[in-house]
Amino acid sequence: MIYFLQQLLNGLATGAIYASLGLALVLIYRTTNIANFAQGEMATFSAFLTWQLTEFGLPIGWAILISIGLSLIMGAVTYVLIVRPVQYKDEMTIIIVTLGLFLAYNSATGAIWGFMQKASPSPLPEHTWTLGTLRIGAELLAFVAVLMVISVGLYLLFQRTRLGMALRAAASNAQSAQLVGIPYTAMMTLGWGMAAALGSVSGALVASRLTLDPNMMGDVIIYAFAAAVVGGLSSYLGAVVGGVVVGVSQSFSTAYLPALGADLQIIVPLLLIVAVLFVKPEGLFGKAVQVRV
Amino acid sequence: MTVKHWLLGVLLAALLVVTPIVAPSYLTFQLTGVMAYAVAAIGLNLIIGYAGQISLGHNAFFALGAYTAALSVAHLQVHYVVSVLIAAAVTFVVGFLAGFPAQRLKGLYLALITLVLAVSVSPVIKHFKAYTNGMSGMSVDRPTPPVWSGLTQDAWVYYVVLMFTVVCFFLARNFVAGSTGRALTAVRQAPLAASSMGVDVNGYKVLIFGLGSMFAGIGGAIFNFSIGFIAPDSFNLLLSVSFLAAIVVGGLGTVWGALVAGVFLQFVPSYASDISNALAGAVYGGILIVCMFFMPKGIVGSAIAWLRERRLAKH
Repeated sequence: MIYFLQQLLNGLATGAIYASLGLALVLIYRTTNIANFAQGEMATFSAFLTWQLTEFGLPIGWAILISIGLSLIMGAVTYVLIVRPVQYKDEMTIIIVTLGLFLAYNSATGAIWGFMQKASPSPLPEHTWTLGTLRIGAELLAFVAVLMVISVGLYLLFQRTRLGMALRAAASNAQSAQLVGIPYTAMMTLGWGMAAALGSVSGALVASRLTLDPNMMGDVIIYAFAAAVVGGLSSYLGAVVGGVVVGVSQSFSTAYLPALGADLQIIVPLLLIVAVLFVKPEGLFGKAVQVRV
Repeated sequence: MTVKHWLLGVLLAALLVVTPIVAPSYLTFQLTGVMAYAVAAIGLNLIIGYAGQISLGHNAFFALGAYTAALSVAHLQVHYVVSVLIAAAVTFVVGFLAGFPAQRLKGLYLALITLVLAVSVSPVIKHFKAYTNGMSGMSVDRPTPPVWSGLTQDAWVYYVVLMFTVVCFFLARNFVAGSTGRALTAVRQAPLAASSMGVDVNGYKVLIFGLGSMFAGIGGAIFNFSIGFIAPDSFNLLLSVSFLAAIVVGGLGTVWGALVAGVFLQFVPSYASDISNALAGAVYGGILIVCMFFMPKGIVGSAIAWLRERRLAKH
């Protein structure tokens, strides 16, 4: 039982990472109807930015905050320069362009900072509380807290502010939004910027666990996509729940299905995505889209 | 088909046959690689360019073909030509079966599932290390030239691969020409209209997935002959994305674009990595974006459009 609970908690911590990146994916999908395959690599770039700032002598907290700001600009610039010109082309074109971005960001990170692993400074204390035999790390609490702050922040932004309303309006109906005077392009740009900022948070979470390395997000982005798809791709709550589901199932499969070994764990998100798409293609929290013929 | 076309064809065929005898051995070796990549590229072009289904998992079928052929030579002691046929059969069946779930999924979701497939290839190969020798890879016997031919091994391998390449291009061209090709265009551009005209949309999608995977498998199997060694890490996601970049450059929905793709896959990475380790990815990424912006039809597609325009202008 304790073992079970322990695995559940481990899964929760990992799930928080997937959920935070999944939220970034949903944010971009909701605002521009694009699945951004480059999201993970952009987050890696942000994590390296943070590392660079700490190398310049900034304390880690400030480095993360500045890096979030820089990532916001990075996302906005990426949208304006690369994504906007193809936004209304067919889905294939958009997927190919975001894959191009994926490669470009990956090699930019490698070219600037090299492919060697770097020890990353962690903002988290190395403390572990024990409840009986159950271990609760500061990491877990911090990850969950970060996820809560992000989720509540996004909820308040979208439901309680004029800016959030404008963002939602621009996403749901471009023409009507423009007619009531919402600066449409600015909203799209802001959406990409915010997603990149969110991504930089998940980049910081991943970096605090492992060492920095240009390919560190390679698997994480897949789990994050699995999280977003399980949740329905267009639902913020769905991404959070999906992230936890993916994280916990990954932790359980490691614990209870040793036959898979370390190599085959990647099959778990595949099975989850396939299962959800077949049983409920719109995801757990998504709305089924009706296509008008 | 005019006399000019025939002459051009004969000249090209002669050039292909003479190359290994007159060209330096290393160039022959590289051209063999070009052909193996080109065969796999036709497969991806069938799936993406003709049927309009995105697939990022082409490396999986390339690897499946390569390992099936290598293992059947090692364990069943079959002739190398038979090993390619076995690889073709296995990848066709697996691709066909994978096509059933694939045809239900559209665009983004298909891209996601095949993305997961792409990254699971090398872990799966490593997992079955009893057969595949895991990380360290396995060597494959390259075809040896019969004594009567008096050819070097590189030249002989070139001819074997050339034979398979010609057959594959012939099959692919015939498949997409005529009514099947038109049906596929309809499936890609207006699935609803196609199905109301009596075209079996899902059937075509499944079939194309099977055939596309089969070409990837054949490409992988003959790739064994050119290199003589396979290891899991060469079948990574980057390979899949390079296939994609290559057919985008060559021209989506053109059979001959695959040949350009083969040249691209063989030569671009080696030149790029001469300059910098990180450059290969940047080059592919840049090419993907630039092509989509300025040349969405690719090299062959643009050339065809240009020729057609010129012919119209003449009349």
